[in-house]
Order: sequence, then structure tokens, then C-alpha cells
Amino acid sequence: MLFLKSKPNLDDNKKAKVEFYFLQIAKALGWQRCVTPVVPAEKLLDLAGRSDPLTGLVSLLSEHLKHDVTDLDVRVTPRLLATVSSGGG
Amino acid sequence: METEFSCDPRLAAAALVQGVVHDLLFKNGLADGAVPGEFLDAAVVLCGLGSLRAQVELISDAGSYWDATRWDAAPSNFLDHESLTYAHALATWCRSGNAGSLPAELGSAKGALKYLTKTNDSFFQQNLVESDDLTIEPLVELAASGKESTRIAAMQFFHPGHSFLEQQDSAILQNLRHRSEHVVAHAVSAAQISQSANSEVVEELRFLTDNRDDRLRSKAVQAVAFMDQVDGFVTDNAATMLSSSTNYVTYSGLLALSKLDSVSEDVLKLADRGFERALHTCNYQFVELFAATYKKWLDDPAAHLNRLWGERSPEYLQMGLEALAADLNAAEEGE
Repeated sequence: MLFLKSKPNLDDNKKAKVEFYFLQIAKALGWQRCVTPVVPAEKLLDLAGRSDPLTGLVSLLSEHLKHDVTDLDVRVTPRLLATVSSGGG
Repeated sequence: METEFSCDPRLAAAALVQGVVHDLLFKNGLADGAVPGEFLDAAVVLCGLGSLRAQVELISDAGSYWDATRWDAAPSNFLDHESLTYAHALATWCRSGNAGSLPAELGSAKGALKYLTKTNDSFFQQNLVESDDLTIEPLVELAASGKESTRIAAMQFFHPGHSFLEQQDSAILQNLRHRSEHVVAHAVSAAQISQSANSEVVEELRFLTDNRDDRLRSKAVQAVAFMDQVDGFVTDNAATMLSSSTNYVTYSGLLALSKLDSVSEDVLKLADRGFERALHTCNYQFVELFAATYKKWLDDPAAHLNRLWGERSPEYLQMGLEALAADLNAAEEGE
């Protein structure tokens, strides 16, 4: 009987690199952080489409990664900078 | 990030995910220098946040470094489509293999997941992650007995100066004779990095300098040169590499020959042709290396260039003499 063999569909070098990177990352972050359920694209996009996307997204990411982001300053559009530079004359 | 979320929420959200994961890597000691984009891509997927990245395919027109096995020296800006697909499959496999969580955009990930479920063929395993002390001994064992990607990944940990050098050399030797060219290429790097003094390993490396594959023979020639193990066989192979039209092949051959204090007339003739071609194509990196090498080989390199080009090609003579003088000045400044 002929079996169609499933295969990873990439060469040994590329396969090994992904596995090596994963080990380095998981060693530093811990196994549990790497096996939490995947966040679906729909959930991220839903938050991104709301009126205050940054708060929702950053909060979700922080919770998902168990990572403190209180010192992370995220700004979407540098409006203040644009205002200052155009009004300097 | 200049875009408004309302313009393209998908890209903006993906950028935010990358930024936060980068911050996570940085605060966990994984981003001391610049983080290669492909490493960041892998982290995003492994952390369960790759669903948006799966919807974006990045393609670079920039040429890649000739030696794809030098992950540290020449990392990619991002994971290519095949690698990204496999990363998703591997991350899903770790999460108990629920194919339903694979991004629909990466159709072939299902095949890879099926393969992993059937074979467990991965270097990345929970027991390795959770072992408190990842010592060289089990890694040497994996490099000698695992499947191809496991052998390659395990050899990344090889280094000199530990008490399992004999086993490490044995694993390197096995892998230098492996059927997979990728395993062989990584074994060449491992031999060089671990500075193996094993005579069988050195012989196998010398044998590989005659390989038909340009990349393999270039890697082998460079490794033998760095290990100061250039013999007559390697010298002959390195000399023939000087006539290659591929830069990294020529460079590898010249690098090996530059380790020698003198060469035969036959090798010098091949080098003359290479030097002339470097001048003709204005490849100044090679011109400098030829000039420095000639000064090592010859008591009076200027007289040799005079004999070679004095009547036939005065313009080459002038450029060659300038290169000799420039190299001399650089050497004096360095003293």
C-alpha cells in the first residue's frame, strides 16, 4: 500500500534554525509562556478597531505574555511633534 | 509608527505585537544587541501571537549571504514563508497539536504538524527547555544520533575546552560524512569553532576542499585555513578556486593560500591570473588581499609584478605597485 508521507516542507538548515531559536526563546521565557493558547487574529483586530485601540491591545498583550509593560510608552501618531515643527516660524 | 489604526488596523496591531514581544525579549536577556528580525518572528509565533504575522508575506529582493549556515553572522530580516509556516506548525505541536489553531493562510502547516505528531522529529522538546543545566554531554549525543535538524541544532552548542571533546569530535566526524549537505556544512562550522585537533576530522575537512559544491568546498577551505591545517592537497584545491568567477569561492581559496609562507611556481601562476582579474574587475578587496599575500610569499614582490606586467600591462603594474605600497603603509601604521 502506498502512503503519502507528510513532511515539513523546508530544508534541514531552515528547520534546525527554527527549532534552535525556539529553544533559546523558551529557555529564557519559560515553557509555560510558550504553550498558552494562541490569540486569534480576530480578537486582535477587534481591539485594534475600537476607539482606544492602544489600551486594549497593550493590556491584552501584557496579560497574555505575563509581561509588565507599565514602562512602555506607545504612541501611534506623533501629532504633537508635527504641530511643534510646523508652528516654529 | 506613522499610520493611524483606522487606516490599516492589521498592520498597526502586528507592529504593536512585535514591539511588545521585543520588549519581552529585551527584559529577559535575549536582546542585548540588535535582535535579528527572524528571531523576533520566531518569538512572536512561539508566544501565540503570530496570527496576524501569518497574514503578511514579506519578500526581500536583497541577495542572501552565500553561507546560509552562518545564522549568527548573517541572520535574515524575517522568517521566509517556509520557515514561518514550520514555526507555526512547531508551536502548535507544543500546544498539544490542535490543528484548528493553525492560521488558515498557512495551508502547508497542517502537513508539517502531521509530520511532527507522527515522528516527534524536533530538536525543540519540552525536556530540553526545562532541564536546569543544559550540559554538553546530552547535546553531543543528540548531534551524533538525532535526525538531521536535531544534529544541526545540537552542533550549535559545540565549543572547545570541555571534558567530552573525544565524543564531540566523533559526532563532528560522523556529520562531516553525513548524506545531508546541510548537516555536513554545519559540521564544518562545528569543527572550526571547536578548534578540533582530531586528525580524522582534519583529514575529512581537507577531503571536503575538493567537493563539487562551491559552498561546501569554500567552507571547508576556510575552516582548514583558520585551523592552520593547509597541506599540499588543500593548497592545490585552493589554487584552482582562484579561477572561479564566484567571489566567495575566490576569496576562500585566497584566504587559505595567504596562510602559507611560500608557494610553488604553478600556484603562483594561478595567483597571478587571479590578481590580474581582480585588477581588471576593480575588486579592490581582492587586490589588497593579493598584495598582502604576495608580500608574504615573495622577497621582492615589486620585481615579480614588473616581470609580469612591465611590458604587457603597464596599467596593471602601476595599480599592483600602488596596492603593495598601500599595504606596506597600512602595516607600518599598525606597528
